[in-house]
Amino acid sequence: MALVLSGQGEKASPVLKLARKYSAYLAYPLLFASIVWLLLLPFQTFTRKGYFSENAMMPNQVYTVFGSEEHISAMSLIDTELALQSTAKDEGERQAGAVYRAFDSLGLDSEIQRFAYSEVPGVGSTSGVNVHGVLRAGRSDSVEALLIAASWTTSSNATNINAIRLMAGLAKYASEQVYWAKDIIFLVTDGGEHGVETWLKSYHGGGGLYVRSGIIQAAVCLELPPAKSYAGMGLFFEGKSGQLPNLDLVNIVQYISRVERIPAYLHGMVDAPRSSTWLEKYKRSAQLLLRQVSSLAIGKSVGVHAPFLRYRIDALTLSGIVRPTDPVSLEYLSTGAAPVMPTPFTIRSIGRTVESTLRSLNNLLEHFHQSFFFYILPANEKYISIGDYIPAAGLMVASLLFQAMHLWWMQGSDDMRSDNPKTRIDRINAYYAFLRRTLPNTIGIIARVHLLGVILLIAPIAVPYAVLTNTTSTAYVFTMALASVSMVLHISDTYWIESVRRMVDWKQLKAVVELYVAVVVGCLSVMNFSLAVVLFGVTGLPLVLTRVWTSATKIHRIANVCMLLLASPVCTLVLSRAALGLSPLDFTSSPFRMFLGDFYHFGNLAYPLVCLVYWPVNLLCMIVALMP
Amino acid sequence: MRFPSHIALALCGGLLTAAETFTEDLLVKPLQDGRVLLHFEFSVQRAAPTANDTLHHYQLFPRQIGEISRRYDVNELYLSFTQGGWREGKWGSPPVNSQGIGAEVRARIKEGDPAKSESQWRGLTNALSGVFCASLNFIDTTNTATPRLTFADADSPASGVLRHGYLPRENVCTENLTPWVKQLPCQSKSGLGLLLNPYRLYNTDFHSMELSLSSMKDGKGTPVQQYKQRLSVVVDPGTLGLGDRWSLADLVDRQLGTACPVAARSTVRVIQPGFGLKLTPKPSETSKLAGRGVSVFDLHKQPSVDIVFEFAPQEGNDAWPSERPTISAHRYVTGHGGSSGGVESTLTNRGDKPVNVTYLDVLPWYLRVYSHTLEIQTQAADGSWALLRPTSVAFTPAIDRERPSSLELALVLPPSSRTTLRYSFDKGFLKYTEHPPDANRGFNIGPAIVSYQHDALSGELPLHCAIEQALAGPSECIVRTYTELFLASLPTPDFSMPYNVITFTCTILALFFGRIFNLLTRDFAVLKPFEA
Repeated sequence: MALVLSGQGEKASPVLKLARKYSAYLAYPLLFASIVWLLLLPFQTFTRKGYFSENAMMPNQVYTVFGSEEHISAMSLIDTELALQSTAKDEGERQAGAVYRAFDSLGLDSEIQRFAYSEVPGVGSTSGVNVHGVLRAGRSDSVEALLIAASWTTSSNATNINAIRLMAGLAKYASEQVYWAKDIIFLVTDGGEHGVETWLKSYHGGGGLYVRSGIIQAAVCLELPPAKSYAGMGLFFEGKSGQLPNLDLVNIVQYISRVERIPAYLHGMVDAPRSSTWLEKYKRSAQLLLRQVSSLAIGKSVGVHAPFLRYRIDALTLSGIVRPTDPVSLEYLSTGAAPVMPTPFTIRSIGRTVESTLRSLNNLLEHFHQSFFFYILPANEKYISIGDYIPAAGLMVASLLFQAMHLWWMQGSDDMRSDNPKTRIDRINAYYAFLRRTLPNTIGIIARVHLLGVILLIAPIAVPYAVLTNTTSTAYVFTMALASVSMVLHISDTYWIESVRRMVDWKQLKAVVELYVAVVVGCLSVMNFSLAVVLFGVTGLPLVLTRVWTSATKIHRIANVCMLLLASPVCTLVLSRAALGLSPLDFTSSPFRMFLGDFYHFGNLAYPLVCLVYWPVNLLCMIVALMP
Repeated sequence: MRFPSHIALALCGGLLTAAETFTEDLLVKPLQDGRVLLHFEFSVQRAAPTANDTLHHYQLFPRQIGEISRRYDVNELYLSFTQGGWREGKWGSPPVNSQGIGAEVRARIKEGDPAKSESQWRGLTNALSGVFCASLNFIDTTNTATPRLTFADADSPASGVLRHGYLPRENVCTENLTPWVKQLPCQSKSGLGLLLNPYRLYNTDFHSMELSLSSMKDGKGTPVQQYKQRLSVVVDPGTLGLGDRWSLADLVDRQLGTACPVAARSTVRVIQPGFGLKLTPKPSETSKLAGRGVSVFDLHKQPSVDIVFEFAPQEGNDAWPSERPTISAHRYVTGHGGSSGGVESTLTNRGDKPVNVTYLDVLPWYLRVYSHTLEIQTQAADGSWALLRPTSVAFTPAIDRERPSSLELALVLPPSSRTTLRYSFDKGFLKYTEHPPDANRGFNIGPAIVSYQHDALSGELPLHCAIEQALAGPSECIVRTYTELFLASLPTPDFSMPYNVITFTCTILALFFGRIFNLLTRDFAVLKPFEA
């Protein structure tokens, strides 16, 4: 009890006395240290060089053979079959039929899967078609498989026919070889991530899929927009809820692609040249890290690899980088006709990259487990391990905890804190009376605000029409925002009345909220560091920085509320919408709706966190700022 | 004195040879996807040894097998090593009745006393392990089942206990083939044994090597013992760089010589695909097998024959008749992650009659199957689903580290239907020493077996029955379809972690626990002398 009571003048150890003396100021240096730590991460001196943990893979130690005449002619099989499928009832069926026939003639066991999904629960229905072909490995026991996937449209809404052509070529190549120890599955979808998710669900026992293989060990997704040749490839690896593929997979793909002369850059970003200044390098690394953090925090990335990670399949996307002056790309943009194939050299390089990756994965004796599953990548073929970045989150949590400790000690009137041994019993009695009086109210305020969060969470699922379109979902969010502001005003107004003023203490409320945020951020940081940092930025940071004086003046209060409004979910959602619209992700819909859809389909945590943590904590901060 | 005794033995041997007959046959079947099935069948038959036979003389019959059979009281034995899956969609029905990947041992032990028969079984697997250089000694109680329905139809009158052991992760290689070839009377010196070139036999898409010992009665009603050795491989002439015209010698990279001198019959039989295949030289005779023309080359009449296969250019796959067997079975693992999972099996009946099948799935103890989760649904041709009730169920729950769980069902599959069986399991925790090397790969789980009697069904006779009937005469046709294996990935410890955890925990305890505990529980007070 000494720790809890020491604020009330209990005889404490010297350490506690010291902590009590300085706890008021400790939160700020810790906060500062955590920000500095984050800012230091992009420095090249703090990063380590990537390496292969799994020695069995032996990347790039095989002769690659992809690119012969037969492989190229197998690629054009897709175009031939597409031309033959002119009677199909819609585009999806036509494409699926063509791919099915092409796979079948290449000797794969193929199957077509038709599916329908609603983008947001209960709203709208989109249908799609998946086709997959399984290349059975001769002589092996067929209990493991590798997968190559492509969606018919790329993330930038262009046709992905080049990737599907390449898959046909790879199928031809792979069927000629005898050394496969794992089956190879070729999956083509026209439903993007939703198509892949549906397929994976069926594959793992959801029913409706009859041509199957064993456990999928790794997946490579391809995105090759129309172009004559590519300047390189972008490598995207972020999944939902902070899931990442094993670092070994990322490393071997980067290494192999470099050797095959079509380097895969992380997020398509070329490193700053060797000769550039440290500032240049720092800026480039920081930009790359920011992209990863935002991608991981909101759970959106280029490509269709994200659903695989949920099924314990290590996956990434390779996406061709088109030069702005590429003639084929320009022609496609103006006419929209089926683009011609890239140059044989480009096809060969990309094909051999995939071939060599498949060979390495084929060598795997076990499921990926050797290398890191938690990392951030500051530059190509470099990494920062969890041990190097997690202290930043630790410092954030510590700053919250220290301030909470200080506030807890300082709650109640000053006469409850004195060193006089004569009044000890009275002090303790007064303290308990205070706690009994205020704690239920504090918990009540928190519960009321969270009730609003629960309504915010459940209403769109229970009444799907609330988020029927992007406009209605924006309207829904703003309605909820109005409701919450009036709730804040009501609650904080109530306690200004003289008779109930003693029933609450803002210090206690703030301390409890800080503990709550610290626990959430701390737990989240080991799962999804990026989301934890972002969550701390929008909840913890305003919490630490607002209402720091005991007797707040009007100006302080106004400044605090303005700052909190700036950090409020409505404000950040509007801002992120603008940011998302500008980014290459090209997602112009309401972020709230997007989070909801991601939560519904992929269990992404962003939506419940916004509703149950971010939104209520922001309101509680306002209540703290406005309370007497 | 020694010389005459040798003569006596030789004479004696000569007399006994008359009772032992050896036949060797090779079946060549071009398959739909351009691959070629080679099926070798070697068979020795002898009069069943009587109880008072003390000579234990062996002429053609392999002594090893005779001794094992006598010592472990086994009159029915079956062993097979298989590599690569049989692709029924392209290859039709398999030439052997067991296509489960890995090694399978099945034996009926006469001894009735369970404890004694258990030790007989242990002895048998260890002996076979020694003979065939395989890890059959890893077959123990944890992966041995005693199926009641599936093999109830097996050849001999049901006397004794049938045990069935399965090693799903057993690889087949030359070291297993060498002792197998040694058991042939002519080994690989002459006859069809000459063609057993390991370099080619292991560079194939499907490889199955098996042997079976069975007791039966011959035409005159005398009990005989039959020992069969079968080897089936599917070779792809394409990967060997062979085009539309190649000879048997090209395919196996060995030249056929004279027939094995002691063989009563020595033939190469080519099953005609029905069109477009020209064989040179002319066969000694032609016959029929399962409705197909068969060209028979008798090595006694045509020694050193090299059969040349010449295929007319194909006009698509349409000319090939569909050879899919009436019943096909597939099984997959469902779920992901380390805590639980399930099994989904699909049994398809393509025929127009209901079929009685038995379904056997033996799962190791660390997959804790819940029998209440068993769900059988059948989808008719019109797409409607219905629940299917099994006619009988035999479920033996597992005992940890002692016995696998075994699920046997007797089902009636409706005509043209697809039946789906689902059951779930939890994954058990293993002791860290129980994990195999490459622990993160997981465990191979042996196949489920679906068996049924073909005789009452219409449709093409399964290949293995057709072969049996062509070589040995009419017999009943029992088909066993083996499903795929699956990989069960169990929760795997990080094997370096115990050390990390111990050091980490000790540090925390040593440095922090005492202090925090003190802070939370003790009061510090400075007592002044006058207060004391």
